[in-house]
Amino acid sequence: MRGADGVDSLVWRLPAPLHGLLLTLLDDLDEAIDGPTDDPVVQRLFPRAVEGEDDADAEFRMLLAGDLLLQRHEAIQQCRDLLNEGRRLPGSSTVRVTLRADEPTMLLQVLNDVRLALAARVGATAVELRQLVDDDDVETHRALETMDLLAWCQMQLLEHIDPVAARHDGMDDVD
Amino acid sequence: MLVDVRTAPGPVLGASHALLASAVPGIDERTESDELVGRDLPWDVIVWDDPVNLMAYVVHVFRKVLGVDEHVAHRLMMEVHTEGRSLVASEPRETAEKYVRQFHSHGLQATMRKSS
Repeated sequence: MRGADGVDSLVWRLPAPLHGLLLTLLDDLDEAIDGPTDDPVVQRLFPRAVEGEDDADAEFRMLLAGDLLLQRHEAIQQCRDLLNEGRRLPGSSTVRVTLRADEPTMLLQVLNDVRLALAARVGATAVELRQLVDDDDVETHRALETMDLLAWCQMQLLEHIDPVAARHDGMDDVD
Repeated sequence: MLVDVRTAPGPVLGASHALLASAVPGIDERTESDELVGRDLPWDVIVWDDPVNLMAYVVHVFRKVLGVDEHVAHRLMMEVHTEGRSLVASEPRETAEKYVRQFHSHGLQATMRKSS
């Protein structure tokens, strides 16, 4: 939609509990990406880059990792700022967050990082074989449910950013 | 007809064509061109499957980073999904590094290797 100032904008309506959850998850991600190099979240978000050449991989990652880490911290902070600027109308349980220009794309990317981090914490096996997760494993179930919720948020943003890509949420071939 | 990003002429081939076009025919010139092509052997960029990234999101990233159309992006995404990996580009090292950097910043697992 086009805002009153003539700039393309998107008003993202978030249930207040989801708005609060997103802020918490952003804080967690901001801390997690500063973890040690053998942390599963760090390994997933800063993966191997060069096959078959350890020295070249180490050099490339050393050059890339600093920039990428800084870029991620900045994007997380900008997303926090956006969410904190959201307005909750009196008597409403919905927070309205206005996104302009490239902000939906940045948010999409950061939410993807959050999902990747959650998955790295619970392990790929749990993500792929979620039906086999023990009923008693509350933490893993909670992480998987959060990932599903974030996927729903991502699809909402993607439908605005790139409607063509958003159509490809299944395995059907393209005509 | 779909454009196949993996077989489309890239800068390496373009550069060698330009050299050949400007060269005076002769054994020496041809040797120089061959040496340059040998030095600039392309690097393959491979994107790996994971159980987390949404299919639509991967299509979006392929469209954005590689600049391919919807059909090519979908085909590459399906190859990643079903085969576990897809060779999405074969480019000079600098371009391959740029792609890997962009894929990593979008959360896709991508690696590069010297083309065989």
